[in-house]
Amino acid sequence: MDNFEPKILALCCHYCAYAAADLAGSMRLQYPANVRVLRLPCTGKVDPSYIMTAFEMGIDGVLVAGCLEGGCHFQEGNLRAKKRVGLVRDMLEEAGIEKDRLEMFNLSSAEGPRFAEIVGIMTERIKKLGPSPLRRKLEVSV
Amino acid sequence: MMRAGIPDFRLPREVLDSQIMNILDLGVELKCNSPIGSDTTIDSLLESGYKAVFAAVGAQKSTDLGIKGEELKGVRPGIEFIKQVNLGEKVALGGKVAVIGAGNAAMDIARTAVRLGVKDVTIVYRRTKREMPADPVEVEDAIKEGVKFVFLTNPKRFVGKDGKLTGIECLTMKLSDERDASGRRKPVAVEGSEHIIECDDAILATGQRVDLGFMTGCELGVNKWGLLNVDRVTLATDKPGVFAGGDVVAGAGTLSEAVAAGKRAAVSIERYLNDEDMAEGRDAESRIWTDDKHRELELAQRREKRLKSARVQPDEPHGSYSEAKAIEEASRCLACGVCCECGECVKACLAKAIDHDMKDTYRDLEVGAVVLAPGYEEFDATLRGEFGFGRYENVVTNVQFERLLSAGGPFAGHLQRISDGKEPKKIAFTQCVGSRDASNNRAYCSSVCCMAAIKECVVAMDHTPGLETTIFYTDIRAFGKDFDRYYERAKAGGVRFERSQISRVVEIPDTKMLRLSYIKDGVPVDDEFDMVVLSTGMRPSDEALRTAKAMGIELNECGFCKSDQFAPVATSREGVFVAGAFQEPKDIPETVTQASAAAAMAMELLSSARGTLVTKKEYPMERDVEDEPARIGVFICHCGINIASVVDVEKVVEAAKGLPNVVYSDHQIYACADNTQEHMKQIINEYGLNRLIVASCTPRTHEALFRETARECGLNPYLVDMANIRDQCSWVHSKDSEAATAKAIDLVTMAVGRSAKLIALTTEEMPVVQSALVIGGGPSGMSAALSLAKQGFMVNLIEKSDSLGGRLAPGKFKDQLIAEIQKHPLIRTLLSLKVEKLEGFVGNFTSHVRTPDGMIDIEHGALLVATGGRQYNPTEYLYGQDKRVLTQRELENRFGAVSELPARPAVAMIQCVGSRNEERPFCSRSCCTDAVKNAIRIKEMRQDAKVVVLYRDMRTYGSNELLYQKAREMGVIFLRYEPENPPEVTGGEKLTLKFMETELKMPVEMNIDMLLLSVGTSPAIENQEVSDLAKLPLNADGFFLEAHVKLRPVDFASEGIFLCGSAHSPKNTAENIQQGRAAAGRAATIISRKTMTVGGQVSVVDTRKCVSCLTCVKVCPYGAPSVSEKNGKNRVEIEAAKCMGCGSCASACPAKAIELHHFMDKQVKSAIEALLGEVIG
Repeated sequence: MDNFEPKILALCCHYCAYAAADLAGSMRLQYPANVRVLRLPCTGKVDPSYIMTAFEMGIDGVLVAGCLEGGCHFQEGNLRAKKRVGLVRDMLEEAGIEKDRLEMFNLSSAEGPRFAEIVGIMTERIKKLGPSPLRRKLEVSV
Repeated sequence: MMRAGIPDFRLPREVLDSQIMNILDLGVELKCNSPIGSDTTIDSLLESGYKAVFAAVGAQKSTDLGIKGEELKGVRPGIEFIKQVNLGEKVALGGKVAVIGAGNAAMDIARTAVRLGVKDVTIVYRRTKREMPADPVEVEDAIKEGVKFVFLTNPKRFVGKDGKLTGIECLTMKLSDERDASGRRKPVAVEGSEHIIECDDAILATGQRVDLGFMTGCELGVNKWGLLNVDRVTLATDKPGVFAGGDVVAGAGTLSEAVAAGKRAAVSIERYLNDEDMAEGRDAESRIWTDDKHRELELAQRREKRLKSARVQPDEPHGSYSEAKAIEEASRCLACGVCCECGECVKACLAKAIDHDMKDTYRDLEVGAVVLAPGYEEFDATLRGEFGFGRYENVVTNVQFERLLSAGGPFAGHLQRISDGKEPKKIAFTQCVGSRDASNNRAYCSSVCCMAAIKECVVAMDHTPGLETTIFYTDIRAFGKDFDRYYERAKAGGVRFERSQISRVVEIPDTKMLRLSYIKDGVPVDDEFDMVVLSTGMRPSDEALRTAKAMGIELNECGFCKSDQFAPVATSREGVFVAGAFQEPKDIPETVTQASAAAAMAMELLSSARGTLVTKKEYPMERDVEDEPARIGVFICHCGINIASVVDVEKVVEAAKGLPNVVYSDHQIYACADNTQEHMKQIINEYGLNRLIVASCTPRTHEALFRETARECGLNPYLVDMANIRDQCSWVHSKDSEAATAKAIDLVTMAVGRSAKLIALTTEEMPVVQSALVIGGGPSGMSAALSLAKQGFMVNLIEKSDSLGGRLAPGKFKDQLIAEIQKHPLIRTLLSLKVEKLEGFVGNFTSHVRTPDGMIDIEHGALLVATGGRQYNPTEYLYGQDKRVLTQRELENRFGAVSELPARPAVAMIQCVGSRNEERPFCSRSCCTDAVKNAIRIKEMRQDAKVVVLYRDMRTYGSNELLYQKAREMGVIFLRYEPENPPEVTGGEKLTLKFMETELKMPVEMNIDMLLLSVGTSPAIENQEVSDLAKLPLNADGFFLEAHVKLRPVDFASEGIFLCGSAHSPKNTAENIQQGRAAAGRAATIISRKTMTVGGQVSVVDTRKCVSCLTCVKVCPYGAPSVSEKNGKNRVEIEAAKCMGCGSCASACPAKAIELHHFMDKQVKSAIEALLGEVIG
């Protein structure tokens, strides 16, 4: 368990979070290699089914990262994402998966360091939680 | 000279020997002991078959002083002395040695004497330390090694006993005011100051000269300094085939200069031998240091080391590197901070992007218009010495502070003091540093600093909990859109505002705290802060001023580009336009506005040439791959070493080969290089690829390039995907190759998963109606309409009232503008009419206008909203009840009223009537300047008039500040009132004004003959109508809300619709005109195109699933989805031209009837499944 390296999916909006991740790279900030970024045009495009699919298939954690509130390139996409993430967190809990495995963050495209920090926070959190219960189950069944 | 004339602690002999061996190894023949000028001459060399001769004989002779006693034993020429030491001869020096001279050679000699064990070495120099020609570092080194200096002392004669030197008789000197040829003050002897300096040896280091004996038999041109005349570029002498360089040409110089001369001569000689032009493409001088600071630092470190060992190891105090040190030094390679043209970067750059031979080239461009946008420079804060900038580390400028707050700044956004890295607890901002400052020739206001300071305070307090911020100011000039709201919020949020000027800043040495002195409530106060931020103003850059001069552009009294209020972006020269801070200090939205306005004006001139230089790119027919199974090609990029040094690219290639649908996988040094692009195209064709994945950098910068590559070989651009394995992988996991490689494989796997489901997307060209509709016939609307017409577009200008002009002040300009509009053949003016219904979308709008003759439909490609503002109609201060109370505008229309006033009249003005209050919490921007202008005019008309202006903050931004200054100079009295204590006006026989004077804290009562109200601007009533008509957002005050307050000031979020003038926020005439032009410039970007591309990444509705719940209609910020009736059923359609591709509707649709192309659910999920299939598998 000590050397558990979680796999985390990051759903990032093109305009802020994804750009911030690129900036973290330009700044050569170092952060844990556990996150896999999937780029979307806007977090408003995040569909609960994407998150559910990921958990069903054994992901250890999902983070959704969009623009700062009030700073959405498409006006309110990130606010809708916030609501949805809240709902999915409740659904996860009902299904017996710790809801803290899913979190929404907001940052601007200039916040490279914040992106690195977010990855650090999520990685630490998921390491403490351990592998997803579904992943453990799936692995047993395989 | 290198061996004989330079001490070995300066040039280690092994280095010299190895250099000589290198040269000899190249096949150079060395003939020692062959003096030129006796048996052999230059001519005889040429005759014997040498095609070229390079004379590099150096300056080998000491100059003597020409004073008595130089023959005494112990008086030594400096070069001889060094030579003897260097050649290993025994040199016996006495206990006391005097060195005469103060150049670098003198330092070498003195330090060599120290190394020979002499305890008492003194340098005798006739001027002071300041005039010494030696490099300061050399002097410092000599001092550290114990060499003594005697300044202002000149030898008169050497004295001796028995032919042996015993001392030097010297004269004390003083510096006269007369300057010598070198510009230094000339030393003169103090009469009767003769004295003896005792010494056993005196070494002369007073100069070197060239021994021209080598020229015997071949006379070459010599100048008055006894040096050879050569061409400065080629080093050729006046005799063909003979070249010369180094000290013999330039006088005693450094070794590096001599080496450079040798290299320069070599180039010339090679060209000479090949009969080429020796001078072509060469400059006389080449600078090699790019960063002196680093160089100095580096030299200082080395020097320190050397000094430590000077006495211990007299033979080699420079030392050479230990192995560890050598490795450390070598690892600094390419990061040494200086350019010495070593050429290593050329070798290291795999993209071959560095070219040291690149030169400035001059090109002539033929253009029809020029836009000057050179920006500004920051005021030099050291000119305000009382603030201690440059002396106290914790005093920074606002620009520096901005960097400190920046996530990409020196402390990654963590706010800390420069002196000790501690988090500050108290920060003071002081405004107007280099603004509103006539004593520094900066009388204007820099316009942006107030808001910048407020923002910086708010951001800093956000970053650093518990931080206290204070802004010291004269007036808070929050005159822009929504600025006052921000100001009030900052006040409520704890930013302290002190209306006081800082007189000085003093640093407390041990704590580095900064003590500020200022006046509060009439009492001097001292307060300490951790940091002080100077809000430095803007000034025109020197470069811009040079450009303006070269272009023949006139400047205004503030030194910025001269412009006219009715043509705000035109310069004094036709065809040359100006935008941004070079016209006058301004903030970002206004700069952007001016840029668009300047573009519009340029396009007015160039409309006939539009599109004539464009060449259309042709693409091959697109392959139809719909029915083909996915054939994916994966290209893994090394990005030089950026990716490949961390990620095991070959492993990623192998992993990709094992993924489903991948038929090709390989790696490239640079995926983006031209030749790789060609290679990719070949591979796509050869392998019949129908999906392309590039695993390299970020799609944000490079997706367009690879899409283009795909298109060029007939592949739909939407079949390209990228995996970001550099910015989001190798760069951020550079210490963990294994994890980075695993992650890169995952990212490629996800891309492969998604790729397989990608579909070709079509875009179509939709015709654009190349005309515009402008709503509003005020100054901004008219300016916009006229500009568009001049650019060659048909314009419909619709105005609700029965005349054009709006709130534009009557006068010549108004009349001319209206006349020009009325006679322009491309403008149709529709008066007393309104748009009743708007349909369509960008490029294809239809406006329905009801006229007395029935409805007319107007088709237009762009819509411009210029509904203007309206004057606030005051109810306060007896307005409307007493004839003596007027608005400023009423006075402007009837200035004659001023002459009718009684003798010694008193006129009062009240500012902010109907502005900056609860109901209208915004500044109306132009009223302060209008009041100042009117006050000046009143004073001009009636010198006996007393004019009092009651204000809250005088907001005469930019060059308006000069008017404010002028008004004060003319005797206009400005007194401040607080909104809590507004003035009171009572009527009757005399009009009486009562108010609380803020500075005096006393009630003041005065009888006045006329009261002028500076009334604000309210949003136009029809804003709401137009907002409903075109679904355009309004802000809380009722003005229209632009797409982006800073970067898109005249655009609406909805494509094809623009705004200008007071519909945006209150403005003066110049700003209205310029924003009108800006909106015209922006609208032209749409209607100048015959067609527009529609489609691609847009949402589509599956009508079979749609239940017309209207969720998408509510969610879409662009009004793209709409309900229409088809076959008797209501169905939603999404207008592709309006869709911006965010996908909000797709994820909100409860029936899952909407898909966003290119981010379809199956595509996204396929990426996730590919990733996790592997996790579990």
